[in-house]
Amino acid sequence: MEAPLIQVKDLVKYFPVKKLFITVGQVHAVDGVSFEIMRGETFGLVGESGSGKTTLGRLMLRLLTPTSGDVVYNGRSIFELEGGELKEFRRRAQIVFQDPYTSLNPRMTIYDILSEPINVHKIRIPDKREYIVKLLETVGLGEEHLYRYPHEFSGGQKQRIAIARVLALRPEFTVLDEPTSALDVSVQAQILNMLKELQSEFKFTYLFISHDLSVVKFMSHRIAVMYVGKIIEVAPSDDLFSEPLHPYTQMLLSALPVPDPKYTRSKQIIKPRGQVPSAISPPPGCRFHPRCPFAREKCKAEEPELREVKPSRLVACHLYS
Amino acid sequence: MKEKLARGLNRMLDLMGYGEKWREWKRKRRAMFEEWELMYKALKRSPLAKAGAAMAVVFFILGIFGPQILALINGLYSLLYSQGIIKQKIVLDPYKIFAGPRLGKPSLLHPFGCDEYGRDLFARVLTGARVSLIVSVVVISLGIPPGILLGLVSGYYGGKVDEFIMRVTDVFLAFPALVLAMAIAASLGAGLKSAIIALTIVWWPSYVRLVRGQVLSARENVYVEAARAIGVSNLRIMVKHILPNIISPVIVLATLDFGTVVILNAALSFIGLGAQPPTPEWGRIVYDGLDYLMMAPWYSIIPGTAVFLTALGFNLLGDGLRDVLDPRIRRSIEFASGRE
Ligand SMILES: Nc1ncnc2c1ncn2[C@@H]1O[C@H](COP(=O)(O)OP(=O)(O)O)[C@@H](O)[C@H]1O
Ligand SMILES: [Mg+2]
Repeated sequence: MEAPLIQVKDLVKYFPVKKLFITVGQVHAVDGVSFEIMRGETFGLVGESGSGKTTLGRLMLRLLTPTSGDVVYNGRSIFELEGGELKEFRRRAQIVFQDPYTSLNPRMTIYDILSEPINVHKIRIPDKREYIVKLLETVGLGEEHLYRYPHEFSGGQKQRIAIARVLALRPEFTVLDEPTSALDVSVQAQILNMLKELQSEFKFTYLFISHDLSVVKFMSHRIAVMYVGKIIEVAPSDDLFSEPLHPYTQMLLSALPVPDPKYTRSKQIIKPRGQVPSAISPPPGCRFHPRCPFAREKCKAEEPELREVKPSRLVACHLYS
Repeated sequence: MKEKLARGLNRMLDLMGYGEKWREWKRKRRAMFEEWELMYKALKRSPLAKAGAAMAVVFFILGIFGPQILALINGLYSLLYSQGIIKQKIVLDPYKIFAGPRLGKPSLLHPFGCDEYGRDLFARVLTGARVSLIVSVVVISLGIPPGILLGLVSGYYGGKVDEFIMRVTDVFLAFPALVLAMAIAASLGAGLKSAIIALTIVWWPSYVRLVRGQVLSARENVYVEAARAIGVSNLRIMVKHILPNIISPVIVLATLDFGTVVILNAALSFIGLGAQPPTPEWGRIVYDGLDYLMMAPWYSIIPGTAVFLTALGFNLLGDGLRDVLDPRIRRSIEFASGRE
C-alpha cells in the first residue's frame, strides 16, 4: 500500500484565554487529532463553526506551532524543517483562505500578487508575464485583469485570484479552508467545479474544509467529522451519508435541508438538540454526551478513542465498543 | 495641443524602442495614478486643505528659491538706481548692516522694515524660511525612518524585542518634546546644529508608537498569513505587505510634524539654545525684536507671523490629508465623484 502524503499525529493546539493580561483558561481548539491523507485524495473536514477546522488546517501548514503532536509530510516532520527545506515545503503545501476579501493585499496589483510566489521561489520560466496571464486564464480571468487592484473584483473573482496564486507554485497539497462559504451560491458551484477540474489536471491533494455537509460530500473522497477540537468519525464519502455511525454525524445529517434519498432509509433520525459545549472547558468523557440521546454512564466518564469498527470506517463512540 | 504632444512623445519613444515599455509601465501604474488623482480631487474639495497646501508650497518655494528671489529684487533695484528712479543704491542682504535706516519702518524698498543694525528684515525673514526648511527636512527625514523601522520590528516580532524597544521609547516620551529638546540642545552647546540634533533625537519615538500600533493590527490581516504561507521572508512581509498598508497615518503625522518642528526650532532659538546671531532664524529674530516692541513692533511680529503661518499651513494640510487618506471618508468621495 502507498505511503500517505501527510500524517497528523495526536495534534494538539490550545490558545490561552486572557482577561486583563492574565491567562484564565485555554481554548482547546484542536485536542488530540490523528489522521492520514493519501496522495491525490480530497480529504474533507466538516464541523460546526468554532470546532477547530481552520486551526487544524493552519497547523498542517506550519502557520501555527502546535501545543503538542506532529505533522509528518512526505516522511518528515514539518516542524523540524529549516532554511531551504522549509522553503521547499512552503512551495509544495499551500492554502486558500475562507475570506477572499481579506486574503489579497489591497495595495498590490494582480500582477504583483501573482509575481510574488514566482519571485520568492525563483521559479524559472521563460516569460513571467506570459506565465501569469496563463495562470489567470486557468482560473477564468484574463490579461485585462493584470494591473487591477483587488477591490476592483467581485468576491468570486478574488477567490479565483487566490487560487491562481496557489497554482503559480504547482503545489502538491492545498488546504482549502471554506473557499466558497463567503460567496454567492451561484458562484460557489463554479469555484467548486473549477477546483475539482484543477485537481484532476494537476493531481493535487486537498484538505477540503467546510461547515456545509453537502459541499464536502460533493468534493471529498473521504470525510472526517470534527466536534469541539476532536475528530469523531472518518469515513469514505458515500458511506458517511448512507450509514452515519456517530450520533453527532447522524444529527448533522438529519439537519440537512434536502435529505439524500439513501439517507432517509437509514433507521436512526436524531433531532438536533442542546448547545455546542464551550471549547474552553469541554465536558469530561465524550464531548458529545450532553447532547447525545444514547449517552450512558461510561460516556460521561471515559473519552472514546477513534477506532476502526469496520473496514475503512473509524468512529470515536462507546456505542461501537 | 496636449494630445498632439502626447502622440508626438509616443512616436518618439516608439522610434527609440521604448514605446511598448513605457505604455506597459503606465498600465502597471494606472491604479496608482488614479489614486493620486482621487486624492488630488478630494483635497481640492476642502478649502482649508487647499489653503494649507498653498501655504506649505509657498514655504517650500521661499525656502528653496530665497537667494534667487533676493537676487531678482536686487537686480530690479540696481536697474531702478541706474535709471535714477531711486536715489540710494540698495542691496537686500540678510547680513549687510546699515542697508537701511536703523529700526526703519516698512517701506516700499524695505517692505518688512529694518532692525537695530539697519539690516533689511525682508531679506532676513526670507532667508529664515530656508533655515526653517532645512531644519524641518533634516529632522523629519532623519527622525522618521528609524522610528518606522523600530515600530515595524517592535510590532511585527513582539516579545522581548518589542518590550525593550517600547521601554526605551517610553523614556523619551515621558518628557514633553520641547523640554527634552532643550535639555539635549543645552548639553550639546547652543547652535543650529545642536538644535537639529536635539530635535532629531526627540522626534523618532512618536513614530515608533504610531507604527507599532498600526503593525499590531495590520499583521493580523489574512494577506500577511497568505504571504507567509507562500514563503515570503519576514523582511519582505514587513516592507511589502505591512508598510504600504500603514503608511497613511505616518504621512499625516509627518505633515503635521513639519509645522511642529518649525515651531520648536523657533522656540529653541528664541530661548537662545538654537541658531545664534547673525543667522537669520525666525525665533531668534522675534527675540531680538522684543527690546523694540514699542518702537518697531514689525520687527518681532513679522517673523512671528511667518512661524505661525507655516505651522498653520502644515496643520491644515495634515488634517486635509487625514480626511483624504481615511478609507471611510475617501469612499464617500469616490461615491460622490461617480466611481465604484
Ligand atoms: N489565534 C487564536 N487565538 C485564540 N483563540 C483562537 C485563535 N484561533 C482560533 N481560536 C479559537 O479556537 C477555536 C477554533 O477556531 P477555528 O479553528 O477558527 O474554528 P473553525 O474554523 O472550525 O470555525 C475557536 O473557539 C476560536 O475562538
Ligand atoms: Mg474556520
